[in-house]
Amino acid sequence: MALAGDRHASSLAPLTQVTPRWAVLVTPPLSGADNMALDHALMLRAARTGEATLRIYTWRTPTLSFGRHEAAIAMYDRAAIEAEGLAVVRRPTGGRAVLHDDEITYSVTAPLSAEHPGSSSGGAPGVARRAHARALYTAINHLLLQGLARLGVAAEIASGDSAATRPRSPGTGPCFDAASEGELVVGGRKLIGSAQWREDGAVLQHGSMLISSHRARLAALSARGLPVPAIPIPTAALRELLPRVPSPGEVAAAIGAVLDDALATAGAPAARVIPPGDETDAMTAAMSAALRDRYEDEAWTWRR
Amino acid sequence: MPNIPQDLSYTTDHEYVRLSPDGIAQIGITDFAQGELGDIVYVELPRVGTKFAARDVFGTVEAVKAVSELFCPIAGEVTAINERLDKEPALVNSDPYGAGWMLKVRAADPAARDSLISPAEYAKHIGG
Repeated sequence: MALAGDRHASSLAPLTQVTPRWAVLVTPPLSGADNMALDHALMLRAARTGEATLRIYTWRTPTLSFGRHEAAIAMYDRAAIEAEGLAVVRRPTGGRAVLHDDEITYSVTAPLSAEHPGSSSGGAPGVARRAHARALYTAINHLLLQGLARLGVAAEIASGDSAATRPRSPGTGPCFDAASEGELVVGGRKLIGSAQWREDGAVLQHGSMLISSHRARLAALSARGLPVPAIPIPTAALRELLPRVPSPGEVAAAIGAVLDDALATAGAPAARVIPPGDETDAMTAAMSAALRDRYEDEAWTWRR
Repeated sequence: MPNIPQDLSYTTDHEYVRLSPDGIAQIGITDFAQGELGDIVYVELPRVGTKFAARDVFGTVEAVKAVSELFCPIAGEVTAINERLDKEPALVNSDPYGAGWMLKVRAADPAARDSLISPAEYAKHIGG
C-alpha cells in the first residue's frame, strides 16, 4: 500500500491495478443534482463495465454541497443560503460542506475488484474493496498532485500528524477548515478536499480544487451562534498560486497526461477521451431519472 | 495483528456476530475493519423494528472522508441499536467488540448461520 508522502511513480500503481481501462470526461456546467447524479451513475457504470472515469466539471450556479452525514440543519442558515442565491445539494460522499463557485471539481469512479493482493485466501471481496478504496484514495491524491505540478502548482500531500488533520465529526465546520491525511496542501493550506463513497463493487471519489477561497462566505452561512472552528487553517486557491487560472479542460489534460503515463508504465492503453459533444450522450446513457430525482429531493438534501 | 475473539462468528464483509441462546445477535464491525477504515466520525444505523434479510445493507459508517456500507450478517428484526454511537462514533475504533457494538437483531432463524465464518476462517480471510 502506498504511504502518504511517497512521491514515487509507484504511488500511482493502484490506479491501474483497479482497472487498466480508463476514460476522461469533461462535462459542461451542470446543476448540483445533475452533477451528483452523474457521478453516482458513473460509479454504477464502473461496477458494470469495469471502466474507470476521471471527470472534470464545474457547476451551473454557485452551489453549496453537504456531506452525506453532515448535520446541515443545525450547521447552516437556510434563509442566508437562499438570500445569497445559492443552490444546495447533498453529496453521496462523506466530509463537510463545500461551496462550488469559482472552483473546479474532479471525480474518479472506479470498479473495485474482488482480488486482494495481501490476502492469503486469494479472494476476499470485503477486504479487497476497503483496502483497494484506501489505496486508491492515496493514489488519486498523487495523481492530482502530479497533474497540478504540470500546471505549475507546488502542492504536497498532508501528513496525518498535524493538528490540522485531526479527525472531526461531519458536523463541525466547512470542509476546507481542515486537511485530512493524504489531501493536497500548499504551505499547510488546503488546496483540494476529497471524499469517497464505497458501494458494492465500485468507488466514487470526488473533490474540489479552489480557484478562490470561500471561507468568509461559508462562515456567513453558518447558523447563528455557531462557534468558529478552534484551529482553522487558511485555504489555498489556484488564483493566488498561478499567474493564470487554468480552464477545466487544461486541468483535465494535465491530470490525464499523468494518468496516461501511469497506464503506459503498466502496459495499458491510454485513457479514452470522451470528445466534446459526445459528453451529453455519455451523460444521458449513464444517468437515470431515479438518480436525478434523488439528488433533487429536499428530503435528501435536508435529511439532517 | 488485529484482535479476533474466539467466541464470535464473522462475515467476509468484516461484521461480527455475538449470538446469544435467546436468539438475539449483537452485531458490529471487526477490529481489522475499524483499523482499515481509520477514525470513524459517524455511524448511520436503522430504526428498531426494521427487518433485514442476510446481506442487506443495514447502515453506513463514515471514516474521515470515506463512507462505506454495512451489511447485516443474518436475517432478522432489529431489537436495539447502540445510541451512544450517535455522539461517540469513535467507540467503534476503541472498543469494536464491546462499547462499539452497532445493533441487536432477533434472528429470523437462529440456526441459519451458513454465511458466517469461524474466527480461524476470518483470520485466514484477512491474511493472518
